[in-house]
Amino acid sequence: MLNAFHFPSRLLAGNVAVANYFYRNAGTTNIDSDLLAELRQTTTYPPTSGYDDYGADTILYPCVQRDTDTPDLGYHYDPIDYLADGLTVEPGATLTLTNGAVLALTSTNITVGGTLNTGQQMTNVEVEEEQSAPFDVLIGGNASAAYTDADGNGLPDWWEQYYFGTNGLDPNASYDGNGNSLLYDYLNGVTTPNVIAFSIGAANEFVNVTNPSVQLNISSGWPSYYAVLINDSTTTNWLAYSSSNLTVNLGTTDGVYRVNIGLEGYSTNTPPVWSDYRFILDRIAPTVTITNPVIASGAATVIKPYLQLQGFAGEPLLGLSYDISNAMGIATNLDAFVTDQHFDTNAFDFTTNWFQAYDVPLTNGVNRLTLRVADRAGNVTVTNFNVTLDYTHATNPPVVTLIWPQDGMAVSGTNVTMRGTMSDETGTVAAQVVNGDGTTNMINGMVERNHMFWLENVPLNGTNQISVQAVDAAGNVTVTNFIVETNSLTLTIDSTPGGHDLYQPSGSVGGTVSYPSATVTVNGTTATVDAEANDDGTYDWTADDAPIYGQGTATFDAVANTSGGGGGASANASSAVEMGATWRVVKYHSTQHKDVYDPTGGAYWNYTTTYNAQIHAAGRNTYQGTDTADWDAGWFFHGQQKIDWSDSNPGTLTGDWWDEAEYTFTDEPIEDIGLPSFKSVPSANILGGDGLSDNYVFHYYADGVDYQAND
Amino acid sequence: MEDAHTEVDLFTGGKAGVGRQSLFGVSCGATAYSQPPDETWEGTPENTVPYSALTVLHKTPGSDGMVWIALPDNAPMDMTVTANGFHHYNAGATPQKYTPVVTANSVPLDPDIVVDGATNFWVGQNMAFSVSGLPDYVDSVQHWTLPGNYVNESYAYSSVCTSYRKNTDLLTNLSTSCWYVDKVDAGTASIGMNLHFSNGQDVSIAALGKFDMIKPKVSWVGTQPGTIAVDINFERSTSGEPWLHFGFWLPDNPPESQDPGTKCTLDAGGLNGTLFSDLQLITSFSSEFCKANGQTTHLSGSGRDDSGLLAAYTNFYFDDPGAPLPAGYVHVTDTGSFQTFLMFKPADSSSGASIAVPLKFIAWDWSGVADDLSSGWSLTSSSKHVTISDQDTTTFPVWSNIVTQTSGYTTTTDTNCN
Repeated sequence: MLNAFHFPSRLLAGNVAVANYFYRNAGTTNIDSDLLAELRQTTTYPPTSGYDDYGADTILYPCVQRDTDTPDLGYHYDPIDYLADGLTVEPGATLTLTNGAVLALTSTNITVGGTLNTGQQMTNVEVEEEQSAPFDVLIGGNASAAYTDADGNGLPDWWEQYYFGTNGLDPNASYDGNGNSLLYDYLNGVTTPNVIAFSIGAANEFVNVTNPSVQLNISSGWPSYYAVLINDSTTTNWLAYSSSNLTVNLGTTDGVYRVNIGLEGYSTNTPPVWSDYRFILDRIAPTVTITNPVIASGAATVIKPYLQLQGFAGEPLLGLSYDISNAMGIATNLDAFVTDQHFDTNAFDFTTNWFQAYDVPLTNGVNRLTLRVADRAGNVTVTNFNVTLDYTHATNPPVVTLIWPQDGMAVSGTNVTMRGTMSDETGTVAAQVVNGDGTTNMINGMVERNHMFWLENVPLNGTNQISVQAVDAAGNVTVTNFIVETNSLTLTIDSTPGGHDLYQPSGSVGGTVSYPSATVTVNGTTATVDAEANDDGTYDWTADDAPIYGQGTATFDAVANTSGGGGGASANASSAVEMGATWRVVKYHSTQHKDVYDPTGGAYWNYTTTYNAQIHAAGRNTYQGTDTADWDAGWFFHGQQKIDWSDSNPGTLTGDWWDEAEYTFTDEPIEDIGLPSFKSVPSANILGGDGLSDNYVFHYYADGVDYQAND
Repeated sequence: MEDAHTEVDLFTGGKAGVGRQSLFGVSCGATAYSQPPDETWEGTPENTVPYSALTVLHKTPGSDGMVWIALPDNAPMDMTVTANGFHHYNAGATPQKYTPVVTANSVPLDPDIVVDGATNFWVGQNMAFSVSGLPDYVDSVQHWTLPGNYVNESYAYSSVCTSYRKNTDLLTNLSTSCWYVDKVDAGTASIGMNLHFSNGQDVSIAALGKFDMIKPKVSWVGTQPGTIAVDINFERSTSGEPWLHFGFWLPDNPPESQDPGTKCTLDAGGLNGTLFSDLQLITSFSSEFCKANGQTTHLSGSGRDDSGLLAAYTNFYFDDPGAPLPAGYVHVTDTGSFQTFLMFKPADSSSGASIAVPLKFIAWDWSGVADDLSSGWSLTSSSKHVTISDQDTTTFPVWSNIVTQTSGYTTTTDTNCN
């Protein structure tokens, strides 16, 4: 039984040989060689406390530093590695002192039931000290053995034992946190060769077991002991360190657990180092609500052959999949996706997750679906339900709404794209077009999941009688007849935004019109028409800030109207541009408004875009701040310049207060320019003096996304 | 200390035809931050998060940081990268959309409409389907689904006949080709693929495209203007001997003075007549030549008609079968039934790529009996019929034998004169 204690403060006779001796390494090697050799067998360090009862085989190595490096100044003493009150070697146990280790006893109470291998000597001594001899017995003590390097690694055994409690270390290894090798540390008298630094890792901070595993990622040092504290516990139970993989025992109730893990080295020069990790114990499977189809008693009946399986769960989801079994067979592990997340500003975490499995193909009759939803801790909720596809319930014809062109509209161009909506996205749509010259064409269209239908490349000539036939999946038909005219006033759309710019709220649109005084609007925005004619007699028009509408396909509907000299004519043109894929930050929530770092996650925006930003002090009716501060784009996006909030008259405003700025950049990595940061906004200038609590919200609108930073 | 949460959404874009998907390669990465040194994140030690700890779109990236996944078009979805096991991290994902496009003879097809370049493919034209727009992948398993009626493999029907058939095994090739034998209006060619990527991930993706296949609008009408006669007024009566024959086509006569037995008139619908050809199968024929002593020689056979057949003129083809009436014989019969096919082979820039495909066929027959009476050879009885005319067909004519003037039939001799 070892009943010693670790790392006591040490003091030896005469208060001289102390651990932090002031004159240590203050001497010189430029002295007599015999004296130098003698000094190297002595020490200015105190002994460590030894055990007095050895019940198991034990080997004691030197562990007190001999003055083998730059000589210390002052008194030197014969080294004593271990100091104990007495010595008992239990029967069957062997105590071995090796490599010149010295054990001093303050009594003559020695009981050796087992074996005592000193290798050297055991003497009663009278210590030649100023004070009375404290030691009655010295065991071991071959001074020359202080140089013993039994493993031949260049590091004296006592040094390895002292700092690391072991021998056989790699002399080229580094544990000091500075990258210096052990041999370097020894030769240069580094007294902190074992500096522990580490972090804690785990496969998942969300767990559904009470004893998760953690991995200690040790970046520096050689730990000998570890301790684990859970939440507010303070009792430290140091255990021998043997592996970087530990199991920690959380509590029995679900919730947040803060796990503190301490590591310490063998020597007092290596104090404990602590690191923490947070586990969220969650053993409750997510609650799942399916919103589409509407399920009653575990079953639903639908009239469309493709199902948009939709629902929500009460917590963030890490896994979503479904199986389907029907007359066509069985398909498993099909993908479903989270479509949106709600952020709870009180819990400061995402909560409700909405999900969708797109375009689930059904067959006539019963379709058996199994939805699996897993939360962040791995808890899985399995929902089984039947969906019956039964067209007999589809008694109403599809509802069709024309968007463009409208009945009677005068359209410019010979081939146009028509669009509208129909209520059954799984149905079909086609148009019969009878031109003014009698030519008849049949155009097949397509219907999108969002019910938008498109009839592309529809030929027009003169007065066109158009019949749109929409057929739902059950075969119900709706026919919509209308007339589209063409006239002499021509209107073209020649340029629109492209690429990722189509996801901007607005953009520049241009084209031509055949009459200079025509009023041209694009998606409701008035364009500027050039007064100078082109070579073909048309006039360019441009709308710099035309709204961009559409989902997946951007649409631009232009109208030209003339009056007077134009004969009061009108013409319509439309352009539909398919949008590519893009991504953007749709929510960013920060606990502080001052540090809004890189909410895109460090990615690059490699396209031209425009940001609109607003600061909105919501719910406040008085402010001491400027109401007309003109935000500077340079400040706003580089986050270095401070907005000048004090240049105007502090005023009292009524109602919500807003300000905004805009900045456009092209092909710049976001890391270089930074995202708009609120860190330089002096909040006191905004809110000071009104006596109200700070409850404003900064809104930053980038690419149509509302980033919020709460005070 | 600031804490922050971010939600990143992916907008897949495009027109969301129900069931339509595109392939996405999502490149992920994350940097984890450990204990901040003070009250800000400045100077916080950071480490790269291993890809195996990341989750995006419910998938774990491969060893290259990529997630390959098929996603529906025009759909918003959460693309927030989660670094499992890390509290503070800076993560990002960059998606790249790949829309597989079916091409037909290098023409990119549209899944919704028939594009301009896909409106003028012709039956018989070699159609090479492949898919473009995909990223690099290691290997794939795929299956094509082609609309309409087509063949995609030539084979030896017999030692004398090469024909064409559909081999569904060939539809599992990455690129596949075929020849259509019938028209297709806005047909959809589709391919379902399972792509295997270098990081070990597999993705199933489909592509489709619409196209038109044109089949010439022609007529192939059979008539039998000729008469069945016994005389020398026949092109093969080179030595003045009489023949039992069905019509004639005398080399020295102008066309308007000819009298072919069976005439197949082609209305090519304005197409160049050289794109068409004919092929005639003898369903069966039999002849017998009886001598006065009762010794009778029987000829019979079937197969492709390869003798004296059908000279091509601008808009019709003809046949005028017959049997000689040799001296020493007193009774001759000749009977035949035929199928005459109209074949179409479109011009093709790729030499040999097009094949002749059947468009129409006519079925007809004739028979005649001649007896050597005291006044000489005389037509005793005859018949002629067009049983099928202007009949659409997509079935390739096949044969195991070629009947010529001198071969391809069997000859037996007995005393059974019918």
